Amino acid sequence: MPNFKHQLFLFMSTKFFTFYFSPNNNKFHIRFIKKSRMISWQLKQSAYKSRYICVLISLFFYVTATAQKAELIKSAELFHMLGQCSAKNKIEVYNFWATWCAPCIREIPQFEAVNKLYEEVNITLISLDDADELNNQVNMFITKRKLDSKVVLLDETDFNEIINRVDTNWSGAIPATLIVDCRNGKRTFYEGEFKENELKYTIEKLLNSP
Amino acid sequence: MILRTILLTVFGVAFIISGMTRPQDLNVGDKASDFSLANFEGEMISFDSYDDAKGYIVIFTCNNCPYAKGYQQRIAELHDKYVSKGFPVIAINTSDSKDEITQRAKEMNYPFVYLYDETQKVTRAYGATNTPQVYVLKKDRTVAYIGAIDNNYKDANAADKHYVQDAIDALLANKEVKIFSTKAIGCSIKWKNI
Repeated sequence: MPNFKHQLFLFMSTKFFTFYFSPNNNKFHIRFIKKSRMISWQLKQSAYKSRYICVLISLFFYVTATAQKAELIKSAELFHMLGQCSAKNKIEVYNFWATWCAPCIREIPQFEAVNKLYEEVNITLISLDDADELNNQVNMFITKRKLDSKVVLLDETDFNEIINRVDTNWSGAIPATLIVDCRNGKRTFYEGEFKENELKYTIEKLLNSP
Repeated sequence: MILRTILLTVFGVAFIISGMTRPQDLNVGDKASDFSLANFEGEMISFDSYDDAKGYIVIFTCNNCPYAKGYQQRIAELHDKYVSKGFPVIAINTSDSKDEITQRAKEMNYPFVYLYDETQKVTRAYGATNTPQVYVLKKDRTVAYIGAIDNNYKDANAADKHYVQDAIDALLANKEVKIFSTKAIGCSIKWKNI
């Protein structure tokens, strides 16, 4: 059985609530409104702040994600690159490809995987796309696929001499891949698409050979 | 471990062998084999279809390769220029369907024959690797030139070496073809699994 104190507490609390939250214009009510407005304003501010931070973060990611852009090179730079090794213990892999070449696109994940898997391997994807398509096609592709491997675009229109200088066995068809083992200077040339894991086997074989 | 090494080696060797046996059969000076392929109207075309030919411009090409597309106008111009001199263009499509070939030939109003190599036997026999690839043949079908049409795939007007024209002009003048083999970037021919 509820006692008197209990009764009183109930009475007082209902009184207090009706007083405090009553729509009548008393000073408590005004204070409450003000306070709630302030809270909502503060909330809004912090929301802006967090949104601002979000934008900044996404901008940072956007910038880092699109930081890799294909560099335009001429044939002189290509042959300079093919003749050089970044380090003596490296295996340099040069893949000739283009965004319009379906088998090239199919094998690109293999190059990306090998690039991640072996520290000793350096991948360079040499695009033979039209230089006018650098931004529309090549850089778009790099961003879309989030390519890690280095990409350059060979800005040339006459390939007759270039093809033979890369390798005399190259017919000119792409995809084509040149692998240079910097430890012994051995060059291996492959024309055509690497089937699943074929590139990995090739690299492993090179790494396992003395 | 041993098994793995053996497997890796087998794969590696198989891969290297497959890389070595690229079809590169027909060379300059060799005699090209005859063929009989249908054009889009169903008419069978072979070298014998051209009675007064002094030679042939056989071009392996396809519809959608950007390089082949870049050259389709130039192929038509080659035909227009040289058919009256006895060198007709015989274009052989390496990989598209008959409908696609018909559509393109009608759309572009090709003056030359555009043949459908369904089994890719002819393409293989010639050892074509990428499109567009030109074989200039003499009257007796010996190969006088293999390679690109000119040295600028992008802009016909910027090309300053017209390999095919030079080769035919030399043949017409009974001279030696100076540049008898060139290479160009092209789409690798899509081989069908037959």
